[in-house]
Amino acid sequence: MAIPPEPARPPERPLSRPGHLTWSAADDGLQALAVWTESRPGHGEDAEPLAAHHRPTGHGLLAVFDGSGGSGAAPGWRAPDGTTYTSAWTGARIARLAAECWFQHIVASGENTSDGNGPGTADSPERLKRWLRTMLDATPTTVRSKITGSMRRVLPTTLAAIRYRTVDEDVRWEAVWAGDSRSYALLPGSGLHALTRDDTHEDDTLAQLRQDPPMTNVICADRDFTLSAHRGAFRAPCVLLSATDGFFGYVHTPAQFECVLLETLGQSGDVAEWAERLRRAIQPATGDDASLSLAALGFEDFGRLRAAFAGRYADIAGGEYLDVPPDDDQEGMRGWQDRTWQAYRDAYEKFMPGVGE
Amino acid sequence: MSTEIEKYQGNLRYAVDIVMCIDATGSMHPVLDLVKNSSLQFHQRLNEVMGRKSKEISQLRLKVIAFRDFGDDPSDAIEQTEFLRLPQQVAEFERFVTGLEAGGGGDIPESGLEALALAINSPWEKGLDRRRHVIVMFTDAPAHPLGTVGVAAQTYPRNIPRTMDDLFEQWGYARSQTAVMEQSAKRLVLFAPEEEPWKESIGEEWDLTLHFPSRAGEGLEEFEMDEIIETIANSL
Repeated sequence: MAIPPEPARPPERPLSRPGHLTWSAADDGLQALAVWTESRPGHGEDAEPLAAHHRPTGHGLLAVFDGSGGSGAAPGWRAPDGTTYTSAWTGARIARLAAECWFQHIVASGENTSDGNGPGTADSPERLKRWLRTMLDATPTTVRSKITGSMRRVLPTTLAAIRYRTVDEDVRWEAVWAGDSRSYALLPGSGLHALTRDDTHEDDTLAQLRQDPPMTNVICADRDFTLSAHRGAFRAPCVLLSATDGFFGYVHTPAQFECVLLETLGQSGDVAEWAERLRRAIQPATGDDASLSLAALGFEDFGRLRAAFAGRYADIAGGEYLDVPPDDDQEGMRGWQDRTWQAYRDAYEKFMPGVGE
Repeated sequence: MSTEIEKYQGNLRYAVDIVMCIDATGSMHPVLDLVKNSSLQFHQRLNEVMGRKSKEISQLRLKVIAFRDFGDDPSDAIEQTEFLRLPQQVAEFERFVTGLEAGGGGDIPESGLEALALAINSPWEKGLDRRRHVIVMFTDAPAHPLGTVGVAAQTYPRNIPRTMDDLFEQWGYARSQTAVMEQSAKRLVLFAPEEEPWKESIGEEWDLTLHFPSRAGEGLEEFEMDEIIETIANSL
């Protein structure tokens, strides 16, 4: 199973409204969804999110890609119809293609490597980097740019992916990332946990929300880049997801991203409705393109998935997280952000890799 | 549902400080006219471009540092404004810019590094969230090395670095202890020739820098204000 199964831009989509699409699938203990929105129709620099699951082997991949508009604003590719896309737009699509090829080769290799991959195995981050490098190097530059400087990158994009494998009741996962897109686990008892750490000089998640700091590492064609990796295992059932900063970077406090996920889950009757509610929740609130890819593993059906998080949502909604001070009360806002972050932080960072890990 | 969801919408607005360092020597006549002609609309156009990128400006302050050459005439080598809040102080901004006249300069290199040092040490906004501190350098000439020309003049800035290395320390780098600008806020946009110090010493070596090359001695007429504003907005 792979979503989206079709090209993401149907020809009938009017250009006059914001671009957005959702996809979903449900099959025997697996519920998956993907949400994609763009703030400028036709020019969204997030590639379509990727959610793939291979039933016979239990391998799966969730991934998102956010082309970096600041460093990749130069023209990157001219389409056959004459439309020019930015270097950031193009880079995100190339990274998506590389991730998809990586996953197909993991499945095709038949290697049972989920207990400890090495640099040479098909599912290793090193192999993904090789796919990325090969495709970036092969991309023709059809448009020349006169911009130079240390901030400029060719085909720059973030990537946040979770490769996982279900083995009996275990979900063994490895998060791989570059830049400031993130992967998370959403667990029935304890809520949302970050599995990645942004490539920025600012390590505090609330400070990142306040500052929107520049990235220190992105995938690109003209310089070396790092793919960070972090692995672990959860007992099923659990939810894994990857998202670009359009989903989590425009809320008041980090806990509110979990509130959005759980509030929309609680209002939905099936996974398709959850995807649509997430899309409708985030699109008017975000200041950016936004994409998310999610898999719920081990829940017998959507009703059980929703019920599993009802208690957690009641806890978090009953806390202080939704008592947002008025916009004009700057001091009150900062105090509330600090308090809610301190209350939320330990659980949120429980599975996060260490600084510089 | 969207009304309910609005409670989640956090800060989407940016507090933007921009210091424009403008070479006001003779060859820069075209770009000075461009800045003069566009000064009234500058903040509106920046707001429009930011709006298209779904970014709003909560506060915009502009400061102008016009520079010529301390080696030619120290008396008018630097002219500058304080930070002016736009649109409230647009008249003051206009008055300063329209009063600038392109002239002088003497030899080819100009005192651009002194202007850059003054810009780095500007009183940047510290209080609001999502701050962006942008220095924009417009010049068509290389620069005299710091501390080599006009240092004895009364008008030469007293508290700026005297070497390129010291200036780099003030610009800073990852986890730098000597930086005077915030790492998460600062950006440098150069409209400058592919000559030293702009191309390699700064454009490639200093982080968070974008460089649009111009041709030395030919002014900056090839750059349209739209492109300049688009570049500034993208750098945010």
